[in-house]
Amino acid sequence: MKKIEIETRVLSVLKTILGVDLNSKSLREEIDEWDSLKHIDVIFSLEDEFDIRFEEDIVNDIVGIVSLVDSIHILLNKK
Amino acid sequence: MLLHKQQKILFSRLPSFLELLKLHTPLKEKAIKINVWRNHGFETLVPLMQPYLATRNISIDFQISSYDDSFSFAEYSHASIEILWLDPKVLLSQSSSGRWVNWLSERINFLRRLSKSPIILATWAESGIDVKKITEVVDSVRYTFFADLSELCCEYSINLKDSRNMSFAASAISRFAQVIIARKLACHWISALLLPPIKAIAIDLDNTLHKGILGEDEISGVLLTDEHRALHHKIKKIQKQGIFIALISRNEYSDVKKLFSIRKEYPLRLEDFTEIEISWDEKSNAIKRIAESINISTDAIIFVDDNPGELFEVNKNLPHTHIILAHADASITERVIDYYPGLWRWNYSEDDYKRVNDFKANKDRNLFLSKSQDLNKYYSSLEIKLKIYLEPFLYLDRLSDLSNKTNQFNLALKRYSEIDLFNFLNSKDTEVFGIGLNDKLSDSGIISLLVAELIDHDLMIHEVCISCRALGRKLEDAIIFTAIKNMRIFKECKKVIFSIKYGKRNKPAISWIEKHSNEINAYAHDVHIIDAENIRNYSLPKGLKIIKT
Repeated sequence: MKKIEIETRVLSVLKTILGVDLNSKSLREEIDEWDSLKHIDVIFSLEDEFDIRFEEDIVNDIVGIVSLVDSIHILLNKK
Repeated sequence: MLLHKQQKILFSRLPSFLELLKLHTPLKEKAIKINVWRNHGFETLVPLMQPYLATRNISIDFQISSYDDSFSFAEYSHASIEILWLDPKVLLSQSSSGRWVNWLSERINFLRRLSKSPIILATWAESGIDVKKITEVVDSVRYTFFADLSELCCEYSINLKDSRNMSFAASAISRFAQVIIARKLACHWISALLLPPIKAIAIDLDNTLHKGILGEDEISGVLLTDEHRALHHKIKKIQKQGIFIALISRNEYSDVKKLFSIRKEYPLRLEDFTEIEISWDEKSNAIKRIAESINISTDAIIFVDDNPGELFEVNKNLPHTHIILAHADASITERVIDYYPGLWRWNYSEDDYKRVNDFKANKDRNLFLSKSQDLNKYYSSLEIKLKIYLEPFLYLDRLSDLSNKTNQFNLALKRYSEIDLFNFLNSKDTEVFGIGLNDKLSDSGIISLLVAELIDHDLMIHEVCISCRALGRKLEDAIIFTAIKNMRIFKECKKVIFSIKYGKRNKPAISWIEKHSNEINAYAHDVHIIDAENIRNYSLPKGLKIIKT
């Protein structure tokens, strides 16, 4: 799957979970809605959407859309 | 009414976390408060439960405590349900399993003293022995239930825990388990404590209990898929738990009868249905007739049909009857029924199944009664026996249940807990009697409760309850007068004073006392009086047998 397609789907899922429009450069620290509780929903929902499982260190290293898309891209290529 | 698309999301075998979140809607203002006492994350479950609770318009305000391994219940305030959301890992790492269970018992008892509301202990055990110990602890504390998360996940063959989650979700519970637990909590564990119980399922035949239409595809053309077969088994299992089942179908009766006689592989047989409504009449009318015949309210019935038009008609004419749209995939219909809030109960007793059996037997009894002009002959032909439980310490749960469930023959509408009845039994001036009933057609179990107190030289009857399953057999006089005559505190009494309360549904009880009482309290309408002598002179019909125990 191409990164652009992953990004579109990631942004759509985050819009559902956080209720705000984000873009490809959005950072977690800049978005009030993306707190630690919502981060759980984001991770679980993206695992559902892409049928993947994030490793523990990756979950804690995600700082924004770019790192999310990169992580998903790597996981999908490993499948 | 849930549409097929929503049903597929909510009741697929393993619902999707994301799809459930998409169904989330904001809470209504009037919410039921539930306390959650926890030592690991619970918050993720709340939005997952919400779409399930919304199917019955339930709005819950979860008051989630701070993380507390000591379960101190600090800043306690009243709630309708108490949930102990407990990860035993931290606690077990500090002590042995035996000490942990003792600590758990002490904490649950402490909460019991703080709260009268039901307690759900939602946790898991590391071994079968621990499950047994936890079950023993929970069973020893009144109104407390064990929600075994591990057992639930085993049922779905999924891992309860994912150790990775602890670092970012503050709970080791896996994503798949969260979804399954949320559904179980909302539809079963919580709803069973909040909602009035569903008492009957009225189910359509074509494209519901089989694939195809009998009138068009004919007997050999309708298909019993594996999923339909499983649905039949589910309905049979539900019936064994005391839920009445009825068949409602637009067909010719002779065709349906022939179908069941030829298609022997159908697990559900025609005789399994308590009521059968095969006609071209509106289905809401059929449901009304079923409700009247079983003697339940139409709001205690779930109606299952594959035709949205039929469901709409029922919903329009009986807005409180519950409706379920049968899915082409019968495994989804099965889960929608299984998870319908209000159907599942924490405890099933033998009495629940007796109720269904008893009803079938009642039809035969009525036949006996209509044939027999002489009541004595009717009693002896059925070999009716009344069993009086003089000190029913072992049956307080059933007697309390009777007091809380009986509506039609409940003279004073008092609701007694087991503890109330236990206290009455231990007082020298009060007596509690249970009365059992059986005949050659069925054993109805304990069907009546009497609570009496000696006040000066009069016998005060605080309450008389008779289960509706015993009504219509012309046994009310025998039950009540025989019980009173056998009371130790009745011997020297001059008057028997019955406490009464007029309610919406207890007309049969009120009519009975009005027929018998010769005096109404001049100052209040809340007592009726019968001369003790009249009761002493009451003679039991010849065919009836009394057993004292």
